[in-house]
Amino acid sequence: MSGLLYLAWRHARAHGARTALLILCIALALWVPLTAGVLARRYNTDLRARANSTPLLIGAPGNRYDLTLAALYFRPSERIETISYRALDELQAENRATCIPLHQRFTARGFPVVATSIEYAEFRDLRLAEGSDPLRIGACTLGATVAEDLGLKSGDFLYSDPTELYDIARPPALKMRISGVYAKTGGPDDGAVFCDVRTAWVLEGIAHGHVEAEEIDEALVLSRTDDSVSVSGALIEYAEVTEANEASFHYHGDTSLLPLTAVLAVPRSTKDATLLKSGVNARMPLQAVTPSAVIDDLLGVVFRVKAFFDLVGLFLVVTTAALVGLVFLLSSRLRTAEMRTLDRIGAPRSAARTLIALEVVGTLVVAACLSVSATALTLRFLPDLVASF
Amino acid sequence: MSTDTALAAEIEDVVFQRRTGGDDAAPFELRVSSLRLHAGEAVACIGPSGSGKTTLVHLLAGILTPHAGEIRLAGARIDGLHESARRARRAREIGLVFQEFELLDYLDALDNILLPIRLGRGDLVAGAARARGLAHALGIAPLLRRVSARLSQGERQRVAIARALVTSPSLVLCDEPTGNLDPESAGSVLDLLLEQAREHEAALLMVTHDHTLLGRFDRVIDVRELARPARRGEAQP
Ligand SMILES: Nc1ncnc2c1ncn2[C@@H]1O[C@H](COP(=O)(O)OP(=O)(O)OP(=O)(O)O)[C@@H](O)[C@H]1O
Ligand SMILES: [Mg+2]
Repeated sequence: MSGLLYLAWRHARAHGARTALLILCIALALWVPLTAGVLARRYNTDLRARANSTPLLIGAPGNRYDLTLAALYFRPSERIETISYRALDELQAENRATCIPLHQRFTARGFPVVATSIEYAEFRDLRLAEGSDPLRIGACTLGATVAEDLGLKSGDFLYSDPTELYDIARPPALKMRISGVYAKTGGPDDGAVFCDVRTAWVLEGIAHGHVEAEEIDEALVLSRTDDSVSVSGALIEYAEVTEANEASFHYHGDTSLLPLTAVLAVPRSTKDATLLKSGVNARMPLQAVTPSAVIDDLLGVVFRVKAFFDLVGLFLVVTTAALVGLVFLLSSRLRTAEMRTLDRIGAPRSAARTLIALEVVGTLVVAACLSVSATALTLRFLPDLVASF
Repeated sequence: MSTDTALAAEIEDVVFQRRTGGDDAAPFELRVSSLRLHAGEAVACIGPSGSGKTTLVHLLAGILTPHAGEIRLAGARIDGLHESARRARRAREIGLVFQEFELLDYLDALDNILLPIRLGRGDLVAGAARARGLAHALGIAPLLRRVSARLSQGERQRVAIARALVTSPSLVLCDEPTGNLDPESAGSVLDLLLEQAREHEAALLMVTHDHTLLGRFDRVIDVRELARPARRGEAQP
């Protein structure tokens, strides 16, 4: 057996180009369905785990997929309609669930800014790796990946991304102080920047602080009348909430009309969940969705796509198998003289078959190892698809 | 050569038949009433083309089995043995040199010589030492690591001879191994083969068409005369 193994190895090596090509073809044919399969499974478990741990979502009527994906996986959602803060108060008044506000319309250096309340960290079991929760206006706490990618720690500053660069009605970027960093969870929370909802309203430009006009650097003043000061745009490059001006932040108008993108409700019981959901859907101009049901629907689509990939993969594997079979058939034809020699020398009758089989198996094993490594590499370097789904 | 030396191989009243394919032709038949090969003896086998020289070699090697009669290697019958047992004995006790040498062209000379040992359960280290010794004696020591596809015809032939001898067989069977060599090379290769066979006390049977070489053998047999029952048929020259 070891002698035949040696012969098979020698033959494969002597025909190196052919062997390499075969291995490459088989590895490629295996890599496609393998990667698709692992990705689909990962999608499935990741998406479902998050959905199952989120009992109820309440948001503006509209696309329930948008609502769910935004609230669960922080997919950027410019399109999402807002609901008013009053809805949160009303839901809370029913006393059936802990209600957590969510506001996500902004990003900071590309990462989603999730404005919420302190209950969110508690609900998702986010533990602080350092610092504190974002309690103050203008403060933020980073998910582990954000801190890692940006190289930031508590005490540093993070600028929000300006939404409309040329829209002067929009506020400029906000310089946020990092109050802490959460420990790694392995979920979407790692890739988000958390702050208080009030900070989001500052970002919206609804709440603001006033800079004392007298304190402004005279070089930036364009014109000055008795009751107004025009200042250069250089002044409003960014806003910052400091201890000095924190108290001056205030809202104009009705606080109950301030916007949220969703409310995450954690019902006290299954009964409360049912009643809350039906109550919201019947009485309020809102929609309440059960994320696990929405994700089940969505995965139905994903798995229909995967079925197609499986078919393509199967076709690829069958075609490659046929070609590999053909190559080895032709090769064994070419080797009849060699096989006859082995026969005459007195090798066991099975030697010829074993020799070919060893080469086939060896090629397959190397190709399989290659495709598994390639799949592992692909998954390692592929950006987190669930987050960008 | 005295008859009391050990018998390497013996054929007794063997009949072998095979259909030649065409319906018109009578089936080919080889009859051997008696043939003995003694240890250390060198025998040449002659006969016209198609007379059954290769068939005889294959019968002795156990590649073919007779329809009647007995074939013995070192006193033990092989004609009744199971196929796998015959293969095992062939691998162990018989060295074969083929007309086309039949080297594996993707192996180097050394691996070609070691082929019977790799295929059997022989000791590879001892085999390699023996292979080097044979290569040295045959003058191919510097070529051991060269792939056999890049050897000259004469070099390939020496490799084939070394391969036949590497297991220290008691019987060496050569089927026209000097067929496509020039007379001078053929002569020197034959001398090497005879020398090696004698040194290892092996019986040598060589099929040849080259009548100028016959003088170097202990004995010459003609396949056409093997059917004759008389023991005189294989008397000493
Ligand atoms: N595989 C085979 N199948 C059928 N008939 C065969 C086969 N091999 C040889 N023969 C026939 O058997 C007879 C003896 O063949 P063999 O090969 O023994 O002759 P030979 O004496 O070695 O001839 P040559 O000198 O040409 O090699 C021939 O008539 C040949 O046609
Ligand atoms: Mg012949």
